[in-house]
Amino acid sequence: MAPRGASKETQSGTGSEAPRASLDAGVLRLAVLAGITALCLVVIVYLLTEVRQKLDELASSPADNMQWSLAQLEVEYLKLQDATSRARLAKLTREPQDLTARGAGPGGSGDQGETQPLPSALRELRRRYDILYARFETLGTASLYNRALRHPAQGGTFDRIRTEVYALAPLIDGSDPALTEALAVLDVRLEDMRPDLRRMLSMANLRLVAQSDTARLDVQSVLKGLAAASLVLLGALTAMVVLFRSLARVSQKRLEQKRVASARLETIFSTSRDAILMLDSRGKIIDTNRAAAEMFAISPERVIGQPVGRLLRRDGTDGSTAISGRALFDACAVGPRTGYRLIARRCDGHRIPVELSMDSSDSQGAPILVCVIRDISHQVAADAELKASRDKALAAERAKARFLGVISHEMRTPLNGILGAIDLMAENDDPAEGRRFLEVVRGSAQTLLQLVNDVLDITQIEGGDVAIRRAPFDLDALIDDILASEMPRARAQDNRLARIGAGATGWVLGDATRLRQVLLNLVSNAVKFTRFGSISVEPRQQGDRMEILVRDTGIGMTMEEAGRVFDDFVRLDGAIRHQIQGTGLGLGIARQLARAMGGDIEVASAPGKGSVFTLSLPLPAASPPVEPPAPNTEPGPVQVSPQRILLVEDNATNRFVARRLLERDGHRVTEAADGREGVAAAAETAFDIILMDVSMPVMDGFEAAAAIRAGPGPNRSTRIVALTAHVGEEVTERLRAAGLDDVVAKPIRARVIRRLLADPDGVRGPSRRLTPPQEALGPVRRMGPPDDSSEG
Amino acid sequence: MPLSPALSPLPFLRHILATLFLGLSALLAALPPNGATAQDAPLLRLTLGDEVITYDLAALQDMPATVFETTTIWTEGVQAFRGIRMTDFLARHGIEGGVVQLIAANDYAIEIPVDSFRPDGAILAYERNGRPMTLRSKGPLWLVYPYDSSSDFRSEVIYSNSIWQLDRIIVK
Repeated sequence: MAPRGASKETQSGTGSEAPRASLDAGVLRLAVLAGITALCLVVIVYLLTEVRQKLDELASSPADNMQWSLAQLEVEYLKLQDATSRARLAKLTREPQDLTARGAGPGGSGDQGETQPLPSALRELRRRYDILYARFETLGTASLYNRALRHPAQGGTFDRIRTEVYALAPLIDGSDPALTEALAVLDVRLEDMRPDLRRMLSMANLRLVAQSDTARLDVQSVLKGLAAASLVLLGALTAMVVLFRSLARVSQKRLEQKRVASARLETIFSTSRDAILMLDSRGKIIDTNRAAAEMFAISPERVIGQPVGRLLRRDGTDGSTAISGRALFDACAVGPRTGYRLIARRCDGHRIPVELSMDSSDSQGAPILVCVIRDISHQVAADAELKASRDKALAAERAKARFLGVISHEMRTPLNGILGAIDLMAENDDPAEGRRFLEVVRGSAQTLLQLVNDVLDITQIEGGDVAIRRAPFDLDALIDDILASEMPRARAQDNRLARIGAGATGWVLGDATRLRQVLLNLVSNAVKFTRFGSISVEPRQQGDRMEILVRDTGIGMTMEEAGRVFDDFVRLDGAIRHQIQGTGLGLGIARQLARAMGGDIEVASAPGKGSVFTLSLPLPAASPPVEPPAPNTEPGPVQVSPQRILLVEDNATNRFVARRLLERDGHRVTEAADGREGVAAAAETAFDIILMDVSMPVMDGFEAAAAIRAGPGPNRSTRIVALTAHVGEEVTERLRAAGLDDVVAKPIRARVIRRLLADPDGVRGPSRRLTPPQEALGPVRRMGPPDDSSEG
Repeated sequence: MPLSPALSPLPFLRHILATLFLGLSALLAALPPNGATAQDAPLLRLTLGDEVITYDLAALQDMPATVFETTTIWTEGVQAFRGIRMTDFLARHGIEGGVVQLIAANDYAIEIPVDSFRPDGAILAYERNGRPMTLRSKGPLWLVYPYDSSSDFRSEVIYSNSIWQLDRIIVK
């Protein structure tokens, strides 16, 4: 792997130092040997040429058989001498005429020459001379013999003898008598020259032998040189073979080392969980690993050659910008860099936060950049989550502070009314005035209760504890009911309150209780913030959805305020300025409930002109039930026969109030201060009804009720009604499970108790639905004539 | 040429004298016993089994002649030879195989296989440089090869075969 090449070199440096050195030395030695070999080859080629030349010389001999030719000269010389001698003999035999001739003839001792007649002997003599002449001619003319015969050491003997022989020619060619006369002289002269000739030929022969010796030695020395050069060449070639082998071994070893290192790096490269990009000097991607392909969701083939800016971006103040290869190289100019936070843009458009570490390296002379990219989206997500939870905790802290501030303020206000009125009552004896003070106390107490109920509501809603129960109900009746309940307050504010819009909506399917709560909140708000104006309620049916518009001509609010009006514990300036009481929770609760029912509330408003709240809900039309329980809904003064009542309550004040309340209606009340006392009382006496507080010392309401139900006493099946400050569906269910028949939320109101007692079998009746908030709302709104008159 | 200029004219002069002598002796001398003149004297005696054929110069000149020029190792300068191609000569006498023995005046004798003669090879030269050859100038006949034409003719065997002063041929 090229990019790690530099570091790898240093890693394996100690290991490869020795082989490298020996490799260099080996190459040097090889070069020397190659030089020697080349030199040897040159020498051998030269020597081969030489040998070839010598062989050519030997092959096509320019020379005759020289020794033979020289020897022939002497032979022919001797033959001429011989012929001369014979001729002289023939002359002698002819001189004694017949005697000699005759005697010689038969008495010839075998030699032909001796019987030869003179003319024949002379002819033979001449022939021999001619032959010798030709021989001298040949030897004298042919340059071949010059070196031997005319060598300075010979001192010109050859030419002298030749001249002398040639000088005999006129004599030989002369007449027979003249030649016959000169035979003796000829013989003497020939005899005189013979030793010289002999010596001359011996020397020439020596000369020739020396010549051929020299030639042979020449060839020998050339061959010796050739053999020596061949030996050196052989040695050099052998050394080269050995050296080559060792070099090959070293190279093989280095190759193996590199292969192992490369495989190791390749494994790291491909199994890394971090993406690795390699960039060339132009910032183009030249290689990636599998992790990169996964991170960028792009196949490695497609990413090769792309500029790095396609994948990596930087989020700055002016948006996201592509990273340039130049910038990366510049950053790495002084060394490796780590911890760059960038944005990786995946092929499918996703953006993931990454951390980049990089370094530049050298690959085959060109700089490359190795970028290791780590996906830090988990880390970033964890950071964000941490930050979010911190923010949330801070917000909760602020909300708590705000809650306490608002609650404290909103509680003090009615408490001020209550305590002030009580002080006045205590010092005033006028019964008429006392009644007015009582009204103030009750109003203030109701406000307090409202506050408590709101807080409870918001807690439940935010806890996701809102149960929506859908059932058919008459929307027209519900709207009329709300308008009727708000009418007194509207009149008190000099407002007109009316329903507008076309036609009746009829029966619909929905949660009437929740809708009533929401709509009542909107209408009462409208009434509260409007004076000398008008409030209208307009239902609009739109398919399965229903829009109910609540308009007012009140003080209105700005757009910014309209945005905050649904937040919890928000009280707008307008409300505070106009001394309008409230907890700042009403609209928040209304919107939460509307959303829980699958709808929403929106507001449009203008300061000084009024507001329009639009409640939209899914309220499909429904058919009315066959037998509407109309009579039950009519609340009226209830006459209850006196009953025996067991009151189990640990709080003395509450006990006192409840006892007085019940006794005033003619009931007989037995008190118990805790659950155990209650169980004991129930075991002794039979009661018509048992009112049971829930939270008590010693034994709580759950246990007590269960004990009464389980015990053998006379009240095993007596109706047990829980009185509790704990409200909520969950508590109600638990109480039911413990054997209690009904649940009444504190504070206990005379009206509620009366209705409870008047309806002894009303397990399925309205009392069943006396879940605190709604029922509590009812009386608040119904401060009007009917209840008040009966209260009085 | 190591031949000294002082000596070189001598053989030439002698040559002329020798020729003059020969001519004189031919003219002046009494007829030899066999009555042959120099021209008529038999140059070559061919022994073909029992048959003996003699050739004089005229008889040789009547045959188709071959001429070439070549240097030899025994002479100086380029020599022009005229003679009878050896293969022709052998064919004329129906000699197709075996060995021929050639014998010189000094009884130097060589034997050459008949099939070693080539048509471009040896001739029986009777003229050198336009003149008949005497015994003194390697005559009367010289078996010469065209030495310059091929290295084949420059071996020691060929040199040995180049017999001069040839006067007898015996076919075996």
